[in-house]
Amino acid sequence: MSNTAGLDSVETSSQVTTDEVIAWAGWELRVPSDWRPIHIEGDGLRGMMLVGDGGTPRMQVKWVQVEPDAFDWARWQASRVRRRGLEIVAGEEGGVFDGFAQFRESATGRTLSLYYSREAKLALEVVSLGAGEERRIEEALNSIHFYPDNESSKWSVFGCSYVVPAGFRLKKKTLNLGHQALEFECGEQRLVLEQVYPARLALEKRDLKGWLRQSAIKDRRSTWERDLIRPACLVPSGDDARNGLCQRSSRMFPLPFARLKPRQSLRMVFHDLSHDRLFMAEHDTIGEPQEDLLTDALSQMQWAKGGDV
Amino acid sequence: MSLFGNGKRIPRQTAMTAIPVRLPTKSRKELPNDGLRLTVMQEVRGLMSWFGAKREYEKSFNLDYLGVQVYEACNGKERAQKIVEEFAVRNNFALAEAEISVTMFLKTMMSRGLIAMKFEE
Repeated sequence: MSNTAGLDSVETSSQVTTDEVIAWAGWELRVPSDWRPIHIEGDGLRGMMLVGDGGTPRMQVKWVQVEPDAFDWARWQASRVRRRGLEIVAGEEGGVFDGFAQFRESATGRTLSLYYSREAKLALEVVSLGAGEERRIEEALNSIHFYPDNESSKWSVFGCSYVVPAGFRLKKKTLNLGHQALEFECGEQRLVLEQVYPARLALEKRDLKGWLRQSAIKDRRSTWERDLIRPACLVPSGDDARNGLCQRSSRMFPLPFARLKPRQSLRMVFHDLSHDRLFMAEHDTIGEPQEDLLTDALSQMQWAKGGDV
Repeated sequence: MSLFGNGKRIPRQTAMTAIPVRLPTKSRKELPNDGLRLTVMQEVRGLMSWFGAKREYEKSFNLDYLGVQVYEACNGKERAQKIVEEFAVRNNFALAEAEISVTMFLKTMMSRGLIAMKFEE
């Protein structure tokens, strides 16, 4: 973060070098620290994110999950270009990406970059929107990275980062000031990862037990506590131990439908003293919820200044 | 020209160079958990002023510890941008989140008569 005086830091914003990591739906981008997601829509399969500084959008990123055997890169590329009437600037196949092409609109100077990764099963379309920010946009584009579909992937916005196991797709997101919750789905399993901050303010509102009972999964089922609340401890690598609580519960529809698809859930809440944050995770499934899945997710949950995870 | 107000919007960059200044308060009381209760005098406006109400009345505002941090930083020297940056570092917030929350809070304090914004030529 810039330590310069107010006026200087505003006027010299183009000199900001610290990177902010934005990772979403299988792709990752490093952008200047004063850039942020302005608008996010869609889910893990298809969606759009506008990235910019507080005043102006700088880039638009669109992603679509594809089936590599059925996906025709040349046809998809042609469809993007035909729609916009652009001239090709660069094109490449078989490099870092399985498909890459860049086009420029001569009238506006905007560039359209197309990426395809077979491993990630992802096609990405990035439109640069910022006039006068070409260098920073190019740097951001050079940092694009994909996560293979069969491996765990990182999700990171506003400095909060999460590592999600392979196979889980984003179902719902809540990105409020001081509260982030990402709900993922994999078949019948649901995984919710949450951060609440500052923890001091959150714990004034309700204690750690209260946060444990505050399930993020909302449906018509009622929750029945199966076990007593028990303490839990996490030791993330290179970080202080996190102390918290964990509890198993059953979730059922009201009578007479209680036998209809009852679900079991495990919820863990940790208080990270060094970052003054509450880290929470919940695994909800038809069978037995996996504690390892939650401890892995929680120990990799981070907050990093400038996204330096 | 707009019907209500002058319709002018201050650009973000200009707004972030503004210097917030605390306005005089009638009383100031420390609260538990590092909070603060501020009492200010506010002018009676609208219909009430036509019916012979007092010209001024007391209004109190409670700030939590985060609010106190921002309020105390409005010392007439620091620019809004600097306050945002310090707030983000001190509380482990992302700069973007700190900017949104601090600027919203500054706007609220301005509308409540707790601070004023100084713009330099």
